[in-house]
Amino acid sequence: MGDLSKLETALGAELLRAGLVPGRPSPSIGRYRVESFLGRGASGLVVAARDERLDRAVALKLSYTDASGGGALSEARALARLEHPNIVRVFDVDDVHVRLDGVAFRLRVLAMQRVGGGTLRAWVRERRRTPADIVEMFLQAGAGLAAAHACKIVHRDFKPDNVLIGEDGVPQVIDFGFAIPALSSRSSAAAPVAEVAGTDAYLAPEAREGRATAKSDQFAFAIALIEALTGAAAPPPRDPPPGVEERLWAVLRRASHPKAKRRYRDMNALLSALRATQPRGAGLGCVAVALVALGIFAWPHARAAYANHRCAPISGEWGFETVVERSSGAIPVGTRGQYTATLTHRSDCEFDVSLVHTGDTGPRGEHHYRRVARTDEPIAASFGLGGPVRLAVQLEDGRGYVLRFHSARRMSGQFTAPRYEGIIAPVSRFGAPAGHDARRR
Amino acid sequence: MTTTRDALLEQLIRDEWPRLRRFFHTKVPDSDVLDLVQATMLAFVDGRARATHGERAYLWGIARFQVLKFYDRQRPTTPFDSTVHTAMDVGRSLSSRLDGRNRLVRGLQALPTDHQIAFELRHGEGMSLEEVAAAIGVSLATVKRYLTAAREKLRRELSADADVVGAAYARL
Repeated sequence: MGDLSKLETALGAELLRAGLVPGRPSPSIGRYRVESFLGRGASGLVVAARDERLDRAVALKLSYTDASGGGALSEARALARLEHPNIVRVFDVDDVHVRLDGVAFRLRVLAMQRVGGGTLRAWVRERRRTPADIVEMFLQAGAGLAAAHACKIVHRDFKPDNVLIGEDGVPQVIDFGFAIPALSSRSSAAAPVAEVAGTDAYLAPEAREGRATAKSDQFAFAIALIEALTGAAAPPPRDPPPGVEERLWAVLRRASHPKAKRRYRDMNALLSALRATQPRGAGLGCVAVALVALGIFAWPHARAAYANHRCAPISGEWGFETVVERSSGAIPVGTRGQYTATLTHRSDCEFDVSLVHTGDTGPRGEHHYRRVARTDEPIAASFGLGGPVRLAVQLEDGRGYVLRFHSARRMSGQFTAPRYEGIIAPVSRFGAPAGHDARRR
Repeated sequence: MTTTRDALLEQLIRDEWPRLRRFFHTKVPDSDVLDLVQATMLAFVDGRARATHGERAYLWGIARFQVLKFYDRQRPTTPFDSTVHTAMDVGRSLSSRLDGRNRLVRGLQALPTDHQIAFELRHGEGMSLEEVAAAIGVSLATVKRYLTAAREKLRRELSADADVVGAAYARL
């Protein structure tokens, strides 16, 4: 703690000079110009900054490179490659030497997307929420954890303070793989008071012994959800509190079992079990989780025909296919979905799109329909999104077209989900979608 | 004139910023610390002529005022009583943002704000009883009463004596 205070003091002194003394610039760390403090965690300072090269607002997590809290650089880089709508995007990570207020520091600088809005903890307390709403929000945060686990990244410090609810209402997990596992046991009279970590409650027994695994994240996730439902971050008592269903409680009791092997196999299994406890209607949200795992491919002829245009004039009716690349469990990886899309030009590179789901093929060729309807239901509703969905379509050299969904609103009305992105490319690159006419009609 | 003012601000940053940082660190969210320190320093520089009880007491009196003003903004419908209310009372959003802090900070926050300030200035910053009284704007007897109450509560909550807690505060 003392060391971090040294960094905070030096950086703060520079920021104060910039604020109080005319003509003094804000301090720079590498290519970032620091603007203000955002917070201080167990392993680092978080500051608001601007990436001067890309003119982009970022949040920087600063930790000492020699501290165990800094995490391995390779792990940080793995995280930087991880893209998921429920994980705060890591742009870059690097080690830098910097001099602040006359003191030299060697820092690990983790540049992340700056998310507005508050924490999941604040969201839970903001107003009275139904268990279904709370579980729905946790399902999304859990999808972020599951995606990280798929990339062999264990969070090690999941708690409601490490989930930010963006201004669009989408929860995003922060602080992946960087927290120091708080190994100290609960405070005792002998323990120095300043060293007691504040997140003990979410630590699985094996994590306390320094053996944190993905199942420890599952434990922390369950305790955080129990806390959101009951107000107490503690192992659940046998009987559910008023207003919480027995079967939801049973899921949480299993996920927070002191013995790791008694918990669910993985986060996906836990999320599926949680999803099954959700009342009908609320469950649509889980499909929205799957949406982000879809990559949109296969747009025949378009690239050749419109290669000379920055934005393709693609109004009209089209067919295309989706392939599930990563899944939160609702839809198996490898599932192909067929759709027809009606695009209406809006302005510049933006189109309104109406998408109709016409079929699904599972990874072994079987037809696979779960929550996604096979009828003429618009895709927006299929994915738990209200329509119409707007797309921006831009040419991207050599790769095809980039589709960006935005202004997509969840059925529950809780938030918008603007960040879905996929690439469409000539069919030859991905193989023709089986049994579906993907030509422009 | 400006040069003198800038030099004074520079001196304040050098000498008082580390102390003001931990003072605000135990009372407001991290993201508000710098703003309140900046406001404290500007008010000090502009009103230094009014420092009738010594500059140190004047500076900490301003810092206390900034905290109370901040708390009042957080709970606009109920006037903040610094002898009764604690940082934990300020509102769910504030206290929730403070949850990540350690047990020491939470123990200090559980004290009524003026008790907390008296304890930190006396045992963390080593100020004299007279200076603490002037900073808070109360009598010597009242400061002693605040300190006794704070020490007892901290001993109960943190199982540690005042000098241990004060030293831990100074390392924040």
